[in-house]
Amino acid sequence: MKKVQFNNRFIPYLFILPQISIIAIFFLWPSAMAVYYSFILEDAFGISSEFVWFENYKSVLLDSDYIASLGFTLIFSVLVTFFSLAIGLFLAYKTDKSIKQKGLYRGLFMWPYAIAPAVVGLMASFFFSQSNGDLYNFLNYLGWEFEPKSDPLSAQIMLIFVASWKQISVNFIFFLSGLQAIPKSIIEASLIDCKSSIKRFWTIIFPLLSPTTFFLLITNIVYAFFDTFGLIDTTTRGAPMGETKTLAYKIYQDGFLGADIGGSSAQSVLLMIFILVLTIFQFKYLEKKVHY
Amino acid sequence: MLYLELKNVSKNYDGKNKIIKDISLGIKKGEFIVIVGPSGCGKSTLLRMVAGLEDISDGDIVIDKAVVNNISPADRDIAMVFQNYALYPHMNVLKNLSYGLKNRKISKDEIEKRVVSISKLLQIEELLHRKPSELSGGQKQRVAMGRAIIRKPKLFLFDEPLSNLDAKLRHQMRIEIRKLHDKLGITSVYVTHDQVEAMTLADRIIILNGGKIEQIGTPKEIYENPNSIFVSKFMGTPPMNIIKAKVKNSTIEIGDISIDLKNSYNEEYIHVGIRAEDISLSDFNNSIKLRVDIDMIEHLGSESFIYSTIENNPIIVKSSEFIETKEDKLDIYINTKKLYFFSDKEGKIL
Repeated sequence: MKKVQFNNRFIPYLFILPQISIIAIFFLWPSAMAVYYSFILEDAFGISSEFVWFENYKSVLLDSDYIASLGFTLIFSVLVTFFSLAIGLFLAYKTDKSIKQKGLYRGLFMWPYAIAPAVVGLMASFFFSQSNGDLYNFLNYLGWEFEPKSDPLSAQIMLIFVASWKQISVNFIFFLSGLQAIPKSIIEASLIDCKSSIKRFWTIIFPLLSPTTFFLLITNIVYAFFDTFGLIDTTTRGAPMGETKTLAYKIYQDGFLGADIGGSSAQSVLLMIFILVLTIFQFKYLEKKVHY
Repeated sequence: MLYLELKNVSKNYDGKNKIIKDISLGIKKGEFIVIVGPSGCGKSTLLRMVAGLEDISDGDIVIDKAVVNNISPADRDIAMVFQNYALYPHMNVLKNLSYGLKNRKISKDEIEKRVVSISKLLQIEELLHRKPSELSGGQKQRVAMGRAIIRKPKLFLFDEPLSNLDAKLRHQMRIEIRKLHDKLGITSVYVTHDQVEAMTLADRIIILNGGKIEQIGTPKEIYENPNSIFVSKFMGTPPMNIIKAKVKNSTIEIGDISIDLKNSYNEEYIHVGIRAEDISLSDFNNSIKLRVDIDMIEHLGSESFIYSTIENNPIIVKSSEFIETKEDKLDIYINTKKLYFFSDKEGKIL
């Protein structure tokens, strides 16, 4: 690497200033504020406030609603991540192997990527609408009493379905480019060494895709935790009885609709810590299995 | 007894674009065959068709009496060494060597036995637990060879295995490959664009040009009796000198000298071929003198190449002396017994 010498020792800092200020304004400052508010108890009208140390945390962790939301968020994230990764990989593998119409498949599978989460939610609410939603009618026609408005399980399945569907296209793009980056001669060498295509996939292709998979695993978990907010807000809004409330959505509801600034700040700090620990864990243990 | 047989094999994409045009050939057990040709002549495609990595558009490929057209590469009992080695980057050398055996359900003991003997043979014992990224080019090459040898296949296929190595290592590996072949005796097909590799490695050389076989023969036959201008120019460094000369009443004229033709020939022009080593700077028996214009002299230490022209035909002369001259003209003596005559239209030997 070439080392650049600057005459003035402040110039390098000037160059990183834009990036630093973006991080400071949009991450460090709000995070600090969240930490600050999480120690404050404010009355409903915002007139008086009191420093209460860990009272907010205590009440959050003792709240059965919060534990239920945590449970749903974990199951939701695991399933959304699993399905969107698995289906994205499957489609990418099949597209990569297809000889004819490769471009067409690629284009079609990439389309959903361009749709905003809120629009996906809106579309989902049409599809699953009780009045005349096609998927609603179809599922009920199959004999399943599918009622996302009143049945918690239906609502949860619907959310997992829609959230996974939205993310498949992103995973598809990354997996496809990952597959195309595998040298052709390695695939050919494995064709000579191993007859079974399933075994070839798991012993050669999947390990060579591991950097892509690892990256997508982290981004998908973050997606399921945070980016599904718009989707939930346009479909169930946590309904029927809060069973489809992810942690991120609960923070919004408690803080902005419930005006419990202290409680929701405590929740967001907890969420931040949780994601941090999860990511550190992934880097520490999973990354060892990644072959760059 | 033919071991590998190609019967009227053709390859085309979408019905046109013929890459391999109706090739038939037979290879005996234990033979080392080198397919050589310029880039784009279809030599790699031909090899990949034998391996099963490319479909066959027409014809049959027979390995050990069995037609293998529709048999998967894994079931053809062949092993291939790729140009860029194609080692599995996520597996260490040991796993790279044993991967193909494991998938063929060979017992652990047997695999271990073979790994030990192969790594000894190729001197890669110390590398068994390293990843390919931690190996040098020559070491990767050895491992790639090992992965092929360990399978004990019916057929070895080499796809320009040495072209990623530097000149010195290439020379060394070339010798090792030939030694290994003499030791193991496995029928081998080796594709290269390097005529030196072809000359030194092959029992028989197949010269491919534009998807067709130009000539098949031992290195000696090919070098001494090239049957076309293409072959004569392709084999040998420097390439054979070809002079286009006008024909007059069964004599040909080059510069101010004329040479009698043995047979009658009824085209206007003829191509006369002479190898650089059959030209001398001093008079000798059966020689004729030509006066040429010197373009450039190249000194290699042990020998010199004189690049010259006569009537716009380039002529390269090889001399074992260190030539220094200020003049721009030179007398050269060519051996009339070592002249080759090629037809003008087809470039075939006469």
